[in-house]
Amino acid sequence: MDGGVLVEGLVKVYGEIEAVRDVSFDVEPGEVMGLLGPNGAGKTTTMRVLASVIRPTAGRAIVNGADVVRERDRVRRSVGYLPERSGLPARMTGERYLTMFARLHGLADPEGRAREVARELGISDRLGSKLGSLSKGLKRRVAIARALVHDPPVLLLDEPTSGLDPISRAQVLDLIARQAAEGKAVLVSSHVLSEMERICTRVCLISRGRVLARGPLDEVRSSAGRPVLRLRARMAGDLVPLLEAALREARLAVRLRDLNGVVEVDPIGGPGDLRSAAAVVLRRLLDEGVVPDLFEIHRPTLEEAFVALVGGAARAGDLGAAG
Amino acid sequence: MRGIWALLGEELRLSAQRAVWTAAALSFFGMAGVAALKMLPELLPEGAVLPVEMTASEAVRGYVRTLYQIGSLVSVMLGMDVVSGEVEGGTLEPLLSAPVSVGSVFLAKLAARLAALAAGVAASAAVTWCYAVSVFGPTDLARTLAASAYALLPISSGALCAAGASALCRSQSSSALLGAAATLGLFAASRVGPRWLTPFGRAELAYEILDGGLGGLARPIVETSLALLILLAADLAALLAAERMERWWG
Repeated sequence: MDGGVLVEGLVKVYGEIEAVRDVSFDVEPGEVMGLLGPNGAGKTTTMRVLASVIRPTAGRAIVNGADVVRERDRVRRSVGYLPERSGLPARMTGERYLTMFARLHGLADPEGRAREVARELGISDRLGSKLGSLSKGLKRRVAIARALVHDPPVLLLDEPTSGLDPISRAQVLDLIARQAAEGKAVLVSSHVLSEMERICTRVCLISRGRVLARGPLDEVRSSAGRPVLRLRARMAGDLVPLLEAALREARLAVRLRDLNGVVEVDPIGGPGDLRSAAAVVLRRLLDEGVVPDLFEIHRPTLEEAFVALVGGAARAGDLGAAG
Repeated sequence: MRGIWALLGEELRLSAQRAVWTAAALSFFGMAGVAALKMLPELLPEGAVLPVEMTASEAVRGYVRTLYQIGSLVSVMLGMDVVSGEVEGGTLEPLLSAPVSVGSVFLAKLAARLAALAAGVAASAAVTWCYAVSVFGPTDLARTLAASAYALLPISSGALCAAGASALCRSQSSSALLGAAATLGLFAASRVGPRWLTPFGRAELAYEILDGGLGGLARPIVETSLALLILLAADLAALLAAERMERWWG
């Protein structure tokens, strides 16, 4: 797969521990794929295999058309890898460090490229400082610059925004999106699911080394449930019986739930029913002279999908273990 | 040996500080030895026969003895972080994701540390010689430097042992302990086994150089260098085994 990543049946065993079990996914050039999972899920192990830092026990991983076991050198030239720990030598300056990596990748003008990538990351003014003296956020940016210095077609970013302040985080996310827009295949792992929702086109959710869900963002999100109508309104009487009556009259099959003052209308039928229910509810409220404080179609977030899938898998695992 | 030159340049730059510390430590012990020799008559009971001559060459001889003891320890400390220091600092992982082999990383770092050791030994030999000459009168600088240069070969085994240990251990302290034990083992082996077996087997050669006996040195030097090369081969074998066993990743 030229320019992208293909993982098929990947297995990695450390002694007795199966860190990754039969993981498969792919990353197309020009897309950002999120690798999600709780701590110890196998994300970092998968990243390390793809960066050819460790060898898989079984399965196949192809990065930019090169096999991670047989063509390690080609893989390393194709990959910009940001490990979870920035791993910067404290006594070296940023400029020397980036230049060294540019040189290791055999670039023609290593100093020039180091300065260029530092400018892109907004760290030019701190390039002369010793890396040990930089803040955590700046260190992370230097580490990202290191991953980008050879302009690789594939980026593997393990927790790229960890330790960054909100502004730096937003800048890094924009940078990742820009890299994908330029045609790079980007695999990102993170615990901050709202960030993943912002930049990923597809996600692969793993837990205990196994893939729980994989696919476009909407598809994975929908595994947490259907979109629902949520509303809150201040009125003299009880809101729920009023809405029940209105929806019954409209012959719509819905489930109503009161969640601490927020009423959730869950249409059993489908998206068409949701729209109809929203129209009926709004009309009835306005007829009663009630203006709702909150009136929204709530779609399941990635976080809700994550909790549902990982929690479900953990319960199934526990039950399996108990059985 | 992909990437070795790019790494070596940086490592040599970073090792300048190590060289200064090595020179300072060895100079301190060298000058302390000269000062102790100078004070010896005052320390001995009146009328006691001096066990050594009060000359600059004797002072330099004492420095070479110090090199074998303290220099070996310094050497172990220089080599203990070659791999484990990178593992502890998290700097090995990004390095190995670049097109560079772990052997290149190891050799560049080891070479830079050995260069720091060599520079430190040369500087401390010159400093000690100056002090000895100022206290006791003239002695040959060239012989002092040549004897120190030879002593550098056996004491380099400390760095080699510690570097090999650092490939197998995940912490620098464990590497230092294992490296020191291995160096002591080599030293002990030189007393009981064949002389060619360890780099310490021909340690007395440094004293022969000081005494002016420069004939027939080629063979012992080759033997000592060979013993060091065997040690280096063992290091590389340990390194590759550690890489294969993936000992560095949690």
